[in-house]
Amino acid sequence: MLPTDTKSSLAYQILLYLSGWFLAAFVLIEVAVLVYKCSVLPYPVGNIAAESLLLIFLGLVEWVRVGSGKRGNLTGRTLPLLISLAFSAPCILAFLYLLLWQTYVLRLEVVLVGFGLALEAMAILLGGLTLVAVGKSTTY
Amino acid sequence: MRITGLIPARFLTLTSHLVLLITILISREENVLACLPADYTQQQYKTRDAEFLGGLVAGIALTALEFIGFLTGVSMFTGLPALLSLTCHSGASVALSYMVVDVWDCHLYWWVFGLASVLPAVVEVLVFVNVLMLKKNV
Repeated sequence: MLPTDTKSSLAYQILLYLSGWFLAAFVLIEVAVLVYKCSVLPYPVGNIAAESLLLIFLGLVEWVRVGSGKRGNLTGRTLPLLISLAFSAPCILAFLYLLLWQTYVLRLEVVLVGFGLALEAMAILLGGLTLVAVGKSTTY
Repeated sequence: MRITGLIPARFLTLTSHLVLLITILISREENVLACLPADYTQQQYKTRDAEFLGGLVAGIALTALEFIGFLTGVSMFTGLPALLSLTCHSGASVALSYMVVDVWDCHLYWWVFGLASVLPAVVEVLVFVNVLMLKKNV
């Protein structure tokens, strides 16, 4: 049972927990899609390297974002929440790269990235609200 | 026993079903052509397309209903209904990905719709009734 004066947000925690799982599935599917695209379509070597690196980067940054968001929400401290919000920006950029500027974009990827961006937007909204609630309650 | 894997598994299968439904919605033309005769008229195409589109939108709506029940926590910690929904949606994901890859006849979608969208949605509504109206824990 949570103490009654807690400022942690349950909705934010659920969202982060589920987006962590979505992220894992997303990276796995993207790896499979990349292998598929390499085997079917003519792909310049530089682009494969760049897109694989971007995928690894996306996975790591999302991992940090989700982890620090969870921690900040549970401990009720502002710094991890701020880090989580700041890391949303590179995540959104990486998603947008996959959606718009990739060499080949599959329809499946459009839908998946759209889902990821929706989760990201909700995380920014709920994270901002949690940050305000936690920040207001902190006494110095 | 603590069940830890059921919630993320259910979320991921629901998501994959939803993603596949939207993907088919965007690229439904081939499936519609697959269930028309070789010498189809424009009118026939329109009717079939509207029918298929309606089915897909209904499927998305039912999945969204389950998503709402799941995310609000009404059916998040249920055992058997969650397992049923897990089975149905993973089956639907496999069937729908075959539908895209093998360009299935659009009539076959109604089987997937009935077995893997309507069935768990009905169970979900029963869970809603039990939890929200009869105040029982399922």
